[in-house]
Amino acid sequence: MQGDVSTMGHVELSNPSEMIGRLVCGKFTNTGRFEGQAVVYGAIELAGKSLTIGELTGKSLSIQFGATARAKANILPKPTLGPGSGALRERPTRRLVPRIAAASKGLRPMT
Amino acid sequence: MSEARTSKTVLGPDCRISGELTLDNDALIMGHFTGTLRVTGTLELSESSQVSGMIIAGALRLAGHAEADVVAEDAVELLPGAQLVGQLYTSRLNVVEGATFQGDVCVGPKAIQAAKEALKQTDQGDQNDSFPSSMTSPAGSIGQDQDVQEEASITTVPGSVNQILQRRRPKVISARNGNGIG
Repeated sequence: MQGDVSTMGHVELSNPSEMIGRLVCGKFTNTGRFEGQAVVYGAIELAGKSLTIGELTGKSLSIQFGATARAKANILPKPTLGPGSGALRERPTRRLVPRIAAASKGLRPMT
Repeated sequence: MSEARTSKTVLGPDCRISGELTLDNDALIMGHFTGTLRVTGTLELSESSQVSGMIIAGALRLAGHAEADVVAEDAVELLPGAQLVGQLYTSRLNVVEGATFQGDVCVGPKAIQAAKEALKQTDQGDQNDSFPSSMTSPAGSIGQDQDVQEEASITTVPGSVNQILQRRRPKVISARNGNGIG
């Protein structure tokens, strides 16, 4: 696939899947081929025989023996996202149900 | 295989070394080091350690701070609290949560070979800057059993690595001459 993916969940790219583009997710496991920019709010795992090219931002990074990776890595306990990364803009927002949204504003939800 | 591997060379937290250091053994460094560090076995850098320059080791376990280019044949592990800034060449990498790594990573069956070629190009005429013997011989076997078809793209790495090392080398040389080392 080609394009951008944005989710707070776990993205697993399995062999022989290929992805080219920008990825924003909570956890990323690659057993296939990935090329592009990955902004991960949790762990990045690159399994054996996987291929990763590009830029990786995350909290932790594990590259197993046999995996091929050529990337600019930015692994930090609290990943700081550069203004150019577009990660914050791409971060998925949770749609609050009206009841919760009203409660968070200190209003009584309508019944 | 060797008797040396049964022991470990330890440099305490009060050590401050600059220049080139080669250890045909496992090693634990707790102090400060600036320059080129070669360890044929496993190199452990404790929480108190600070290293800058170049690290060539069989394996690296980092808990301290390092601003260095790292070539480790077997594996690199960054423990919680570790900070590494620089280029990294290895066949296996684990950066745990709580550790910091900023730089370029080149991991794969041909990563060591790529780093070796880059170093050869950089250090033409300087025979002392070859890899440790334990690193050169098994390096060819890494990945031979692996059917990774994509590692051909790795061959583009030495050029960029070469540029980086060429930029870094004058700093290391000036550090060796005693300029700018605290």
